[in-house]
Amino acid sequence: MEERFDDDQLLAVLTHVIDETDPVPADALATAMAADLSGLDAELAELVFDSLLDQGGTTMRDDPGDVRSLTFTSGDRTIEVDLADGGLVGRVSPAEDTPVELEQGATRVPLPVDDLGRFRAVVQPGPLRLRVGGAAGAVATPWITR
Amino acid sequence: MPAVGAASDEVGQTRFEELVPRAIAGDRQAWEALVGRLQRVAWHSIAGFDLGDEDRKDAFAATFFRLNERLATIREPAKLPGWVATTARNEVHTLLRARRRLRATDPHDLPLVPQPALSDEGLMNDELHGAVRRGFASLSARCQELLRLVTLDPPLSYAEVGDLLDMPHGSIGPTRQRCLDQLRGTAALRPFIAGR
Repeated sequence: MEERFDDDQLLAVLTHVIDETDPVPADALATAMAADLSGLDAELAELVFDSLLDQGGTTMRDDPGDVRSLTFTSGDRTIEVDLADGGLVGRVSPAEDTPVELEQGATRVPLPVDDLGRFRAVVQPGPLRLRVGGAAGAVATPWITR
Repeated sequence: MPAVGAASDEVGQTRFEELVPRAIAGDRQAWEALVGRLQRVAWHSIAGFDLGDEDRKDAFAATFFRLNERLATIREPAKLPGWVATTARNEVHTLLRARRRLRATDPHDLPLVPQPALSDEGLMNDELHGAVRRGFASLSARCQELLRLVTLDPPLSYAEVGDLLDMPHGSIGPTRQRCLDQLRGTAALRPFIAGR
C-alpha cells in the first residue's frame, strides 16, 4: 500500500476545499472592511451589566419580546440601554448637553436627548453601539452583539 | 509557517505588527488588509453551529467591529488569529443565548449541529477535491470542527486550538491525526489513498 498524499498534502487540499465550499460571504466581508476608523480615540465604556449574560440561564423567559438591559460606565458617566427587537430606549447620566449617536455598521445616527438624558431609537438587525459626546470627552460603548 | 492564501500585494504581506498601528492611525488600507488576512479565521472558526446565515454573518462582522474597538489594546499582534477565533466564537455564544438556543454560560459550551450537505454545483473541477469534500462531509461534527480549526489561515497553534475546544493542548495533535486517518478511510477518499 502506498499513500498518495501525506498529512500535509491532505491538509492543504482540505484547506482549499473548506474555503471553496464555505467561502466568506462578500457582503459580510464588505461590512467588516467598512468599519469606522474615525472614532477610535473615544474612550471605551465598560460593560458592567448585561441581562442576557449576567442573569442565570434559568431566569430567561422564552418570550421573543424580551427586553435586554445593559449598563455601561466610563469615569462618572453611566449609559443605560434597554434593547428590544426593533428599538431601544436609554439614558445617559449625568444628563447634560450630551450628543448621543447610534452606530450600526458604518452608519451613525444622531439621537435626540431630553433634559433627563433619555433617548430612544429604531434599530436595524445586527450589532450596534452608542457614542456619547460632550465636554467630558467622547465615549463609545463596546459593540453589542444581538 | 507561511500563510497559504495571503494576498500577494504589498499590504497583504505586511506583518500584523505594522498593520495594527497603521489602522489605529486611520489607515483604511491597513485595516482592510487586516480584515482580509483574518477573514478566513473568523469565518471558518464559527462553522457548524445552530445559527442562520444572517446571524453567522453578524457574528463575523461583530468580530471585526470588536477588533476595531480593541485595536489599541492589542499587545501581541502575532496572536491576532487566535484572538479573532476566540472572539468570533464568543459572538456566536452571545447570539445563541440571545436566540434562546443556549442556556449554558460557559463559552466553551457550543453545541455543534449537523450541517446540510454541501452543494456540488460547479465548485469542484478536480476529482480529488470533490472526494475530499465528500469525505469531510461524512466525518463526525467534532472531527470537522477540529480539522477546520487546524487548517485556518493564518494558522493557530495547537495551544490556541486546545483553548478554543477546551481540550488539553497535547491531545490536539493526536486527535488531528485520528481525524485525518478517518478522512482517508472514508469511502470517498479510499480510492485515492490505496496503492494502485
